[in-house]
Amino acid sequence: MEQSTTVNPLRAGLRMQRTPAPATVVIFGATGDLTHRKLVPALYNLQRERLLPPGFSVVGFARRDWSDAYFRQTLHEGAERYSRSEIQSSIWDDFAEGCSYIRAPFDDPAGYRALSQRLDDLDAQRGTGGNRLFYLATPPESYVEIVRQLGAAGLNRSPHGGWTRIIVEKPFGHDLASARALDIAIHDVFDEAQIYRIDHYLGKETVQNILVFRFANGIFEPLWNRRYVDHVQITVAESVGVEGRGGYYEGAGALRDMVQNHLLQLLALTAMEPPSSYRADTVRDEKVKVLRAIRPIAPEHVDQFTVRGQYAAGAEGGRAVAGYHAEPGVAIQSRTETYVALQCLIDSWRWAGVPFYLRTGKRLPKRVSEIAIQFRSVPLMIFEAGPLNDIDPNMLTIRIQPEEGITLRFNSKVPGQTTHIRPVTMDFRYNASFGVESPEAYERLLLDALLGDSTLFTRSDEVEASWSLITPILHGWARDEQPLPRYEAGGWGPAEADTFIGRIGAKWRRL
Amino acid sequence: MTISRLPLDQLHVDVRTIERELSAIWQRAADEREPARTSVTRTCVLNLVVLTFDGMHGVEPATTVIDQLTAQHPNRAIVVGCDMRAAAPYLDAWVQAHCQLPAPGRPQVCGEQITIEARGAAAGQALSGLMLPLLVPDLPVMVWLPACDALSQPLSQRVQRLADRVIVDSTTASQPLAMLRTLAELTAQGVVLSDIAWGRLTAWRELVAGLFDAADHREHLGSVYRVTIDHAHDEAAHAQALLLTGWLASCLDWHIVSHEHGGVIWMRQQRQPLRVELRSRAGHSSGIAALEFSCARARFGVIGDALPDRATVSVQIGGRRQMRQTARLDVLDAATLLGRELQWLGIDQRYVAALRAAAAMA
Repeated sequence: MEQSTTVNPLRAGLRMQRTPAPATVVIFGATGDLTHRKLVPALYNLQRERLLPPGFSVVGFARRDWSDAYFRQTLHEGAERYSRSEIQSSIWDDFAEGCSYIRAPFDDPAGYRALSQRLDDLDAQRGTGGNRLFYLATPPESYVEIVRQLGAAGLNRSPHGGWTRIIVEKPFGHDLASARALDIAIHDVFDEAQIYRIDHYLGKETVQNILVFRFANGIFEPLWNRRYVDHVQITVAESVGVEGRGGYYEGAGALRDMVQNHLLQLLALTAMEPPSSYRADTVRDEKVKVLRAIRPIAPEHVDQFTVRGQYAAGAEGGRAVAGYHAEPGVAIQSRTETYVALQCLIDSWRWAGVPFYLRTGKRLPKRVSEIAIQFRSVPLMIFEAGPLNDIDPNMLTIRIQPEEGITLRFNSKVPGQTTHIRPVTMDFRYNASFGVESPEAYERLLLDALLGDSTLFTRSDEVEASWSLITPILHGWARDEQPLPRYEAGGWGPAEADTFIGRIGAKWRRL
Repeated sequence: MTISRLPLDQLHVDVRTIERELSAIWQRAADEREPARTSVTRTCVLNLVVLTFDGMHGVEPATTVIDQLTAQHPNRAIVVGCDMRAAAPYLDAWVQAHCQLPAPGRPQVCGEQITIEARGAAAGQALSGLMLPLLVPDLPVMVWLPACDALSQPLSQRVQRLADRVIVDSTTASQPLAMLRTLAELTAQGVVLSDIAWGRLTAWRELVAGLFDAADHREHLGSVYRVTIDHAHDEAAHAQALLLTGWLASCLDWHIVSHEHGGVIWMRQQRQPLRVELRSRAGHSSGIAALEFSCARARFGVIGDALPDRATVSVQIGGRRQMRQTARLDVLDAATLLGRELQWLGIDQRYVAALRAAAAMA
């Protein structure tokens, strides 16, 4: 009998986890930090968990004059240091056997011919079936050239009925025009269905759980609208500074580096309408609708809807740290923001009039990311306000990191003869209910890309919609010559940010 | 953590007293952890009823497993140690909390355990009525029988009616092959079963399935003419090999033609005959040792290494070695195996199909 070759009957109906078809991952920029810190440790852990098929292979492609052996050695050192699980030598040895290296400049056609030959050899020797996943782990300036060369070498299409996909790391451009130009260049060679734009925030378990929380529970969705929600605060705070990447950060800033991707993705997941199914395009259709419904902030209104700041010298965890201007690679007169807060208004029936506050910054007191939904106060408070009563509106908090979980704050009577009211919290912590260690975001996203599931990747129109919002703000800021507000490193941002949210009678959450 | 023994009358266990004692130990735990407005993380995702029938001998190992389970599956455990042969009827109960740190720096997670000692047939009769009000409402009820033979006890049969899932380990049965038939009958009656022996096969099944993830490997499945499964030299391992065979047969649409003593099973794939050989290997300590598919133009194998947590996966197509790779083969402790079974609520149809095929060959 001829067994069906489209599905593996031994996987059918099993409670085993998903395993992709044998494939080769080609990493451009394979000598870099991302490869050693994130990508290869993630791939090793997938192999260790038996989530990669036999024959799975990795080809590193970069300019440095490395041999296969040296490439494997550096990958091993990286995995030893950064893998979430211990490196078991026999598993590593077999993983490493599938890793090889091609040295070539990104603009050298000969390098791509060598790559094409290597991929054909792997198909024949290791059964990778013409399945290729290209990963652009290079500086963004190289993206267009690599994509062009891949197209010229015919590597945008697979032989043997296999598939070819490409993962593009952020940033996807530095403004709307450059994002469009990059998109056109990539689309000249690859179809949208082949392109996986990675935002590692979407690989985090808690971020994925936003959709489950909203759309697998019947009790929250009826409250998820302008009638019950007062405002929303989305915070992505970092305690670190620019960590020696001042040169890169000078050209980016908090708005481009964090808001355009991570924070707007969190906003979209929080505010989107229910998709008709949990499929890549239906989910992304709803996300893009929200992004398009956000009222653009015109350049002349940036003062009204945004606050910027730059960290000055201060302390982090009791250790004195330098201000942004003293960081290596930062211009002395730099006006790059290390903190930004925005008020976004969504012009939709669900959210009209509900402000979404986004804030992110470096050198804040701790690394924490969360979405806080503050509900409206009760229409008539029958209990007296006073020293005994501390009545706060209900707050639902989705914590993304650390301590992933969900907290609901509500008011409760303190036991006793008087009506003394205090807010209390109901806490759900992931690790308390499930205990299991969550996989790294890159593990999930690499596995999804190998499986052809693009739900957790950003689509072209999402990128364009987010840059359409960000670019006018950048233009508005460019016109402003006032000094940027400063905040002490280790504090919660400039005082102006408190005044900014205070206009609606709210306060930033103390995290 | 704290253990509170309850002052109880013979043959009367007051459920309210148990609940009061549970509240008290949580209060004490919270008090130990000041400051104000913080508390111990008390979480409960399921009820776990454990029945042992060798007096209190089985209670301590079960308690150890529950303690290890707490971090991943915080639960209310009701552990019953029965000695039905005792002449004098006696019931006693006590409560305790299990607290675990899931990982360094993470919050401590606590679950709770009610242990009941029951002696004599009359106490056994009282037990099922006692357990019902002790269950946390609205949470799944998992019944774990550490000794599989206990399935035949009348108390087990009564408790099965409360259960969303009954978890056994068929390798603990005194007659593992006969137990496969018993389990198959229970699934036919609608009992939702988990067999830890099946869980032990998961890593093997993943590795075997992985051999055929490549489309050009799958093409060879149609020409399989022989499968060999090597296993340890005991009946429990032979039963596991049968389960593995049952899984292959149910997935690949193989039909049993006949089976011979000595472990040779004739099957049919479409019109082609197919021979499955189950071979006991004297030097192998437990479970499955190796599995190999012989096809017309290819061979695929998973061979356990000398190290118990490693296996070698090999593919040979057209007479040349195409690939050989080391893979991790989990060697899991009792708590982890049980924990994996606790993740599932519904019927595992693949297990049921494999079990029925295995029972037909046992």
